[in-house]
Amino acid sequence: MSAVATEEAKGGAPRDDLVLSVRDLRTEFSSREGPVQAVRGVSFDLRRGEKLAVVGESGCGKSALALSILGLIEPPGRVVGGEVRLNGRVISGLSDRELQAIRGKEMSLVYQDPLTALDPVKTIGSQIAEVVRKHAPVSRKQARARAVQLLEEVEVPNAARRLDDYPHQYSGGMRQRVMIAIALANDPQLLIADEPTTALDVTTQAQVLDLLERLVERHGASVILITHNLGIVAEFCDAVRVMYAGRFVERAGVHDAFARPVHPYTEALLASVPRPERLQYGPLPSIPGLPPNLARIPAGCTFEARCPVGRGREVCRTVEPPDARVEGAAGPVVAACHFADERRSGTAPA
Amino acid sequence: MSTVAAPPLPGLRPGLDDALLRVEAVTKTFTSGGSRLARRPPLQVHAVSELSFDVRRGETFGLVGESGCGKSTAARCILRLVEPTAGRVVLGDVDVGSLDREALRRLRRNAQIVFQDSTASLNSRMSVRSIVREPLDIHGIGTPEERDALVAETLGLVGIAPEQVDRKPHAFSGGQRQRIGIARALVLHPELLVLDEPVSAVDVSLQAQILNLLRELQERLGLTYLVIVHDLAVAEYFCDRLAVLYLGRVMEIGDREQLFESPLHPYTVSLLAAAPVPDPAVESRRKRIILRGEAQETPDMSVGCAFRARCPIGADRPVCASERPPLAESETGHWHACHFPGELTTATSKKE
Repeated sequence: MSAVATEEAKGGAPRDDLVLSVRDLRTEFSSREGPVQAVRGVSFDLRRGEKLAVVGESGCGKSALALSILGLIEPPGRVVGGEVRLNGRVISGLSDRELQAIRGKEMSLVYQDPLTALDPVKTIGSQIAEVVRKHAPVSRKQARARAVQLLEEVEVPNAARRLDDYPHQYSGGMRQRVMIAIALANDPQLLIADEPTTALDVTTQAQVLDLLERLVERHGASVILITHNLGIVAEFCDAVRVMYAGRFVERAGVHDAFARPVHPYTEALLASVPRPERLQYGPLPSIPGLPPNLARIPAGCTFEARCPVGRGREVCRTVEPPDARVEGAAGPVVAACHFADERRSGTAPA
Repeated sequence: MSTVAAPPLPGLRPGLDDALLRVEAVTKTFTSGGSRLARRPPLQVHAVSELSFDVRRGETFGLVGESGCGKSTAARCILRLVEPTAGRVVLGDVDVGSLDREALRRLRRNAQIVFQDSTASLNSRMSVRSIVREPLDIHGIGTPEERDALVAETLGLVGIAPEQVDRKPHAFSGGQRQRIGIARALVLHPELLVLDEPVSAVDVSLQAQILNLLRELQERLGLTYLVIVHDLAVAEYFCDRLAVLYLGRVMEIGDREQLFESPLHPYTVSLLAAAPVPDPAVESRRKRIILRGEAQETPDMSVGCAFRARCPIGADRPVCASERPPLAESETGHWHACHFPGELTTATSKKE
């Protein structure tokens, strides 16, 4: 558990068990108001078998981060800086052609909405086989057999018979299983799942998460799970990165993040989850206001205007907080907050 | 129109004298999937089957269940946005089904709906002021000046600033658009507000704002809420009483404490067990119950329990296949439709 938030702050030496290493990644989208800074200098490492959650509100840049890593940012967006290293090899800046050889093989993506990701006019079987054949020299027949195998692995009932069905003939939960089958078809070392269960019912979500958990273990894949559902983070992940206005504002192991969040934003996010035991204490604590416009990033801390700790404070209004490292119960915690130490020791001004 | 004495229907609370809404054995059947060519008879889908419940004035009643469980159809039947196949809906002392078009239009002043997707339900070409004013225009309420005042007052109630009212919906965030949808429903001063997944499309931080706002409005205006919700954490936080639906049928109905602290139906228990808790300490010892398969209407469902195919305890029991469990009352106001109530529990997750 202690390997959380380790050398990632300042580019430590590459280690054998590092699958992904991201340094100072920056992504912008051009807009009428000027460049929208969706990802503003994100750095992190992902070790083999690690399951990392990236959480935050919509518009915080978490999906842009995923697409930046995968090299899927499209105009008007652009990765403007930083480095992405996959299995020791720098992949940021590679050509589309080179990236295509990596995506689907070494790393793959599971989207939130499989219906938009799957081709409606091709059968499920042909779509899986296509991914298999793209990265391995196998015959059509072999690819088809592999497709059946994969569908069985994601527990689609009557896999062989359902191979020639079209996406619309599958239910939402089954389609998401197909997406997982496609993502895992070539045993990638990195799986990025962007809100993989958001569109699903709670019982289907439980099925899919359970399946995903077993499969990534069997395939030895590392996972970046992008979500706003804190319950899923607690269930599924080892470590958490809390993203706000394009930056990671807190990095911690899952136990520290939930038990004693250091950044006031993390704390506020956790507090706003409805829990019945809070009924007796009156209204749910909510975060006032909205995240900043990423085309006009304010000076100082981006959370200042909404922050119960720092609102109106000189230092918070004017100085962008550097990453502060504090000791958590289960390892180091890094928080971009001027009051990280005080908050960790419980002496923060309230 | 005089109040008709309530028949003793399972699901209703006897002697409830301040009910605003009474839903009596409402059924809605759709026909689908028939093919003469393939000699396949059409399948009768019971979107809602003999649904009965009552809502007290000022109460928040929740309809929970997975997609396709009939909760949205039920709400639409209640407002007569779709015609129920059978059953009766009484709002105040009015039998909704007996109304002609004009009377129904008047009734809708008293029962409004807030839709889940505020982006789709707000006209993108109208200003917020016109959107909220439209119901007043349609119902011909007050003078133009009075309407303006009412619009301003209502938008103020939901926290939209006066200088923003001439903007169009796209200029607002998702949370603010949801507030505008609420304002539009409230401007007619209805007694009953139907909330269709009011927070499922907004971020968790904004969820809290919207839920707080709805609570505050309820207290201030004496509103009664019928909420359609799939998120059990929201349901437990927000609802006083709930009905759990599965494939259009009530599995369990009861007050919040009854349902969440001593759930009796295995489906309720499974739903509770499926929702991950935002606390890794709880998660690590939470009892997992993972239902197999999916909620699907099948032809053999005319007999037996609708949930049996996925039921962790009833799948292999003959009685569950042969006999439909009737809705039975275990304690006052707590109803369940199961042959083996209370057998499956969330024990390890609830007790520490």
